[in-house]
Amino acid sequence: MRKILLIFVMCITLIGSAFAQQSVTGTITGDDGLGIPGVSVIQKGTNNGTVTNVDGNYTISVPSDAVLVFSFVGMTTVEETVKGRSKIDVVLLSSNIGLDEVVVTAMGVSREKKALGYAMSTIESKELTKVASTNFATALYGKAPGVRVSAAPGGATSAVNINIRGVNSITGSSQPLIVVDGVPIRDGEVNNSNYWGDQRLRGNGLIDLNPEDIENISILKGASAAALYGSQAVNGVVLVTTKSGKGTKGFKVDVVTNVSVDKVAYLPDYQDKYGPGYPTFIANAGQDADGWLWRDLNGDGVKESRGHVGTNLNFGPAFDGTTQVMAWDGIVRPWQAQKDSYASLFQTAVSSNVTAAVSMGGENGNSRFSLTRQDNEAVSLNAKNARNIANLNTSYKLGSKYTIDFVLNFINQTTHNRPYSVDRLWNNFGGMMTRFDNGEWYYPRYKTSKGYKYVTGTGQSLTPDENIIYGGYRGDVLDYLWSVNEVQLDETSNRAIGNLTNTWQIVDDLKIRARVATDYTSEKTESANPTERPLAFGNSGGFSLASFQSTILYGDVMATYSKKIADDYTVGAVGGYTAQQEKVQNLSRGTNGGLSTENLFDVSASVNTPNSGSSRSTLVKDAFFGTLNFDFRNFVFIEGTVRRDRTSTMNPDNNAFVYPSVNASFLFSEALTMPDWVDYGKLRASWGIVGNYPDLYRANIAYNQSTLGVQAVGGNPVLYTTLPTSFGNDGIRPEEKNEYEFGLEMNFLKNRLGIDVSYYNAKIQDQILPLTTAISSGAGSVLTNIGTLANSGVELMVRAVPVQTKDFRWEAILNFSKYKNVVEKLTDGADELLHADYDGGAAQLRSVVGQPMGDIYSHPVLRHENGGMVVDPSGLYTVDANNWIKVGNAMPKATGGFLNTFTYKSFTLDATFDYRFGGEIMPTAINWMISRGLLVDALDKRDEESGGLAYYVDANDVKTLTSGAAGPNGELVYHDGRILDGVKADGTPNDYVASSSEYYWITYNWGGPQYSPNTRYELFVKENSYVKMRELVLRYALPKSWVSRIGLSNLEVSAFGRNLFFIYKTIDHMDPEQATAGSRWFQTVNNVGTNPSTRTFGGSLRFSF
Amino acid sequence: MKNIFLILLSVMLVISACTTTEFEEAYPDPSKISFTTVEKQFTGFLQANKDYVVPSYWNYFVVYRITANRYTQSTGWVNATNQYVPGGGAVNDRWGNFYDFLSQYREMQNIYEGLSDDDKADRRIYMIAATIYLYDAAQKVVDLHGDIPWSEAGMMSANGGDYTISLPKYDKSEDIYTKMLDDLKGFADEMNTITIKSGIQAGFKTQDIVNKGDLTKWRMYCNSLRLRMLTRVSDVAVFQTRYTSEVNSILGNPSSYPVVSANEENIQIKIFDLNSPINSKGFRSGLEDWGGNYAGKVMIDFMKANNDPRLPVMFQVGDSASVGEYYGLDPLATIGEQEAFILTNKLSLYNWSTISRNEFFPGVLVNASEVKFMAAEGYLNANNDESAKAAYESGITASIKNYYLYRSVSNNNQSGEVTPPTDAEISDYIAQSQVNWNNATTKEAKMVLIGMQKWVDFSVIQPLENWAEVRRLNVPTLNFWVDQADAQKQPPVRWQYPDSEKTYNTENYNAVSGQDKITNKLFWEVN
Repeated sequence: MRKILLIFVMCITLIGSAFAQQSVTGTITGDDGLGIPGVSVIQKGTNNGTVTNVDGNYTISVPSDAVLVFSFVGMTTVEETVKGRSKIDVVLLSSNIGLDEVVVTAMGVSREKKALGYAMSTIESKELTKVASTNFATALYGKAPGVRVSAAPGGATSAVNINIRGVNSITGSSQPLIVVDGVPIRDGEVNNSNYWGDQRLRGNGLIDLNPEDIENISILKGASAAALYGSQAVNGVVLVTTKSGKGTKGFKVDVVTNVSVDKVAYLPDYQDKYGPGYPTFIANAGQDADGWLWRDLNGDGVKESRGHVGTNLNFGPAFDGTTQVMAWDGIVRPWQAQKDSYASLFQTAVSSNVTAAVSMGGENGNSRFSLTRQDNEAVSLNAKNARNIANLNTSYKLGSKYTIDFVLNFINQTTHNRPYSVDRLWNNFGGMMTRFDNGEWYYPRYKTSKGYKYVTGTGQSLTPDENIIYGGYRGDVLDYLWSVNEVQLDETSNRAIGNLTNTWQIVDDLKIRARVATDYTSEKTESANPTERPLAFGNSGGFSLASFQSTILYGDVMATYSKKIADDYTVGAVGGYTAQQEKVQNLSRGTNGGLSTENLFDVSASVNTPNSGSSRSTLVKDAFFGTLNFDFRNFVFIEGTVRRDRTSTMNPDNNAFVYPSVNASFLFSEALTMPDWVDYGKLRASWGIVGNYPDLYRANIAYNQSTLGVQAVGGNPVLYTTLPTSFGNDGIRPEEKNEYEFGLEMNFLKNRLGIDVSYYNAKIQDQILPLTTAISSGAGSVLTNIGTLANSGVELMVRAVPVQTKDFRWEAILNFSKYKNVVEKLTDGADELLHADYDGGAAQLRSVVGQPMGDIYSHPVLRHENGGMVVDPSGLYTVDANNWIKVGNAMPKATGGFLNTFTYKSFTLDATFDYRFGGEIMPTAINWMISRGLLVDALDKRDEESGGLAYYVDANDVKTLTSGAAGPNGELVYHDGRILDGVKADGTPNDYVASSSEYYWITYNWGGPQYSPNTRYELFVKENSYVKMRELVLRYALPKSWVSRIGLSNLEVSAFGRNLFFIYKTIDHMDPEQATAGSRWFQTVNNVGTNPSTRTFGGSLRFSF
Repeated sequence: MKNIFLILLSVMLVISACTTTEFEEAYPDPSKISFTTVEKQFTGFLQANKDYVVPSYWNYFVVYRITANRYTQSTGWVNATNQYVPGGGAVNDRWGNFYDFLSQYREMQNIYEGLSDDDKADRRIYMIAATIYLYDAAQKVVDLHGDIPWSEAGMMSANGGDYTISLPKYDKSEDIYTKMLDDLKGFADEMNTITIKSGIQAGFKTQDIVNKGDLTKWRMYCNSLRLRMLTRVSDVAVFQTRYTSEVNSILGNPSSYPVVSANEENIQIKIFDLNSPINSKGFRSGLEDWGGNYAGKVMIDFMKANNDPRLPVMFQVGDSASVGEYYGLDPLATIGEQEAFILTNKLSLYNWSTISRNEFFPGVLVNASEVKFMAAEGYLNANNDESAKAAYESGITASIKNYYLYRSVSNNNQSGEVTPPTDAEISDYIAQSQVNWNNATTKEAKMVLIGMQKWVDFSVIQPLENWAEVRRLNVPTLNFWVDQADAQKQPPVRWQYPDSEKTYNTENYNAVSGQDKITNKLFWEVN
């Protein structure tokens, strides 16, 4: 669009005549140091002008006192007084606040940015591609105020969440609508927090889009901006415009290639002092006083072999590096901590991609065609993904009145072994390797020499000698390695997003546009589970096939009318209709009862009749919409919109709803006289309503039906019905978000400083949620309209060029958004809603009226009347099972980013930070690792040096301090005692001695008071604030003169890093982003990770000719 | 050009416009139906708890392995800290399934109540059969928890989805027993005179996956359940009169109140087709995974000492043990000793071919052996020693033969052939010192004999009945490893309520929270 205007400007300026008195030459460069072709250079107040050539050079003849105006659409205009100079070089800054910039808004309507009465963030192509992110969303970290991105671990195939202006739904989807070239696409949600439901980490639809094919992204944040999308817009809208050939003359070829490496990062800080084991007073496993477990291996009755207790508690003998101890795999090793025990379960992932794009343009149209090949690996062993992406974007003019646009985006993708969840290794005791254990030790043991799955103990095996017989191994690690190495999952998908648009300019003031589009995905999955044991011991393994097809069919028709009524007034109107149908079909078939022949991977190898499954769904929605806008003297703009929506997910008797909005913009810098240092000023105000409908088929109540087959000789098939325990509700109403917003945009100091600030206030009423009830009522949940949320916040973007010299330039953007959420009302006078109860009543996630959603509650320590914390005879604090206290809240308070570009000659350094302040998470597994004595946190008072007290344990299990070498009856003396600050049940000062091993083990154990009366989940909840070095890029553009000699028009090399380090972080032992285990906010509260976080390093090469 | 465009535009409009019918059609899930019948819902109800009747992975691995199978020492296991608190998964899932099952029953009631009087009369047998089956499952839940939501439970659908009035109160366990006993007595009488139209009977035969439409078996099931419930509360003062009169009436009038008295009459869900959803394919992983099939020392020693003919069919020797060399795991040994013993490969396991790998293993509801043992107790209480002895001995015989019957339907032979014992061998067993009725001189001693036989008979096949009777009779006397590291140092005597009750049914839960301790005995555990 920008380039079309440019051509237009060029035509006009070329016609203008020149009055030559002096020649001025110069080079116009962008903030990247590269010359900009086609910049308009005009003598102010005249028609005299020129444009820059391909290298950004210009020559113009002007009077010596002339003022030159350098302008380029999308960049800030610069004025320079000639003052007799013959050479004037100018750097143009790209500008989001260009006066004449035209942007694409809702429903594909183009509007001047200055006319918008609401906030909208636009992110350009360059920002999306500089660190070679495999999808556009992970390139958005910190780049738009009010937009929060969080990626589930797992690399290129894992889902990415986008939250716009906080969370708008108590339990529903909080993901925005994604619109590509005017058409909504399939995105979807994932839940990776349910390990037993699915062990592979799933992705969502937006990650298929190739950043290299994207021209820009506009984010519609508020209700007014998104109101034309009505019931789909409660979470905002992301408008993606793909690259086209517009503005290209003749041919142009762009090539970019990247290579990057992902390494596992931010693993927990393990302690290296103590090995597995525990004192005998905890449990008698037959260990000796020093904690060793001796075994008789040669059957002579003498226990000669030194081993350790097969526990995951690490309160055993201190590492000395010399004592020879037999590990669980039967190998004797020196007793020392295993440094990379977890890292060895993952691989270094190497990813690469290449994109080549050809653009061409001429009188009757233009087109761009690109091909991309991405090869992505993940740190999960054997996980690979390859994408072939073709993108075609053409526009043809048929005569002067008709235009046909056709866009096709085709994505062919194969994924081999989608990353496997490490949930069992991290969020679970059964997978926590002791400090005397190592992932490497498992590789030779997870599979027998005959290729079968490992066998433990006395289990049946063809190779009983290989059975894993000594304690201390982690079954979950063995299972994990079997799953990632032996189980093969192959997915192949083809996705086509296509869009055909016809535009007919009927008369000058009226045009009509019609569009049909589709987003079609066909995916096939083959899953091969190898035979786990010999056939003689029973059938095992399996094979299954699945296919998934999703089709979105979309159409709209829209008439646009615009009329200048008088010199000062212009009115415009748009009216249209849009309809959409989404169909999904799933089919699967797989073996049942194992494979009949070892490792024969086919459904025909099924032992019993193969299993099969199928499901399908249809969603229909349509809407009429219209807008009316009014513009007065180009400085007052008012627009009103309305949309009437229908959807099939609502009761057909009551499925239509109307969504209005209005917005206004006032350019006071045009209307009023401003001081010199103010370049631009605009006030915005808007109001609108958007909504949200219940999920597909959730409202209707119906019986499940099925068959048991024939159950007797000569019998008939036995058919049955059951009533689902998730209850629907035919009377459900749509959620409704009512939002108003004010904003101010200003540029100062010749555009070296700009601000854009917004305040918004939204109420979201009639929240739809499956309200959990006690199953004893006859249903586990009931779909209900419950409550009102109030969201308000401030978004601020400050853009500045703090330093600019001839060779050096620093440009910085600070994005900040503060967000406040309050639960205003819940239904039926209830004052709180429970989202989750964790670990048997240990902690709860609640939304309480008057508070932000997502309060984390836990039990406090019991207090005596005298105020002292009560210690029970075990020496540990007693948790008050009858009381709950608020210990945190899951909502972040402020988020944003700090973007810097430093340019020195042809070198550019981009440094992007993103940050989050406030809000808490509960990384339970990190605490469970403390409870197992695995982390450095569990070292205090473990010995005399770290402050441990000496005590002995008598026959009644009572611990008494001592200074002697042995207890009165010769008892062993331990040195890890502590006396907690508090009182005994009778109020007297505490003198019960606790051992530090019990202190850590029990205080940080699993379970609520009924399971573990001394476990303190209040300690588990930690503030989640951080400032992260998200992207660092060093680029070098080779000199034009050199580049042109090899036939290129430009050549750039860069080195980059992603997720490099933290400047500040409040959560230990993990990357806080690892907590993202699903698309919904409550799936990001207590998980410690479904895959490790990674650091990425890479390089890229980019050239054009 | 203009015409072409108009055509194009109209085609696009036609493609994209939606009709009202499309919205109506796309509202309901195409895989579901909006209407059902008493018959279909009856089967839906029966199968809703099939995983807790027919051996399933979940029930054995998640529920029984860490609870009843250990509390009764039916299995051996390696001791570990925190082992005596029933896992949240086991408690929540079993509870959740029961109330899902109950709400299917309530829905069937709703549908039934909507019928005309004639249709109701025709389908009365469905309601009776469903209620009997419900009470069987309900008694197990009461015996786990004590007071439970009952009379008001499962009403969400009847209340039109209004959750605010659907949260149920807890009924006293004694009252639930009373209500069930009253109803079952009524059904027993009613079924003596009921007539079922042949058209209804044809459908009942298909839909009834338990007794295949056999009215006599429903009568036996009903009276056997009465016997089971009465026996369970026999020591509770307020039930004693009722116990005496009703048990005597059942035992004295076999034609009016038939009970299960031979293995052919056992009430069970038989596995007919492994490819149907009703099968025992999950039994293998459910029982065998993580050593859930280890033999316990007390049971093995008792069986060995008396040369029990069930030994070779119930258990199999360890890989390194010779034929007939049975060992169980000692629950009182240290963890290291237990692990070391397991490594010798001499530990006996529950027989793969008879039990865990027998994919045709039926879903056991009531067995003749159990009924005989209850009859023996009934006669003993009536001071009829002769009948008590006969019932006791025929209970043992039925139990022995039944284990060989399980084996006879198995599709697995990995544990090797077994030969059913001859009558003489059974008689030899009955004459063994710890089995012989005549060796027991007191009523208490006789109750020990009955209890020991029940215990072996139930083993891992009827774990909940087993745990209930072990608690009621304190037979056998079992000793457990003391868990020093946990507040709960010994096995519990009941299950606590699941978290969902505390959280979502808080008001009603609070009324019973005082008794929600795993050390709180059930009302019938008065010894």
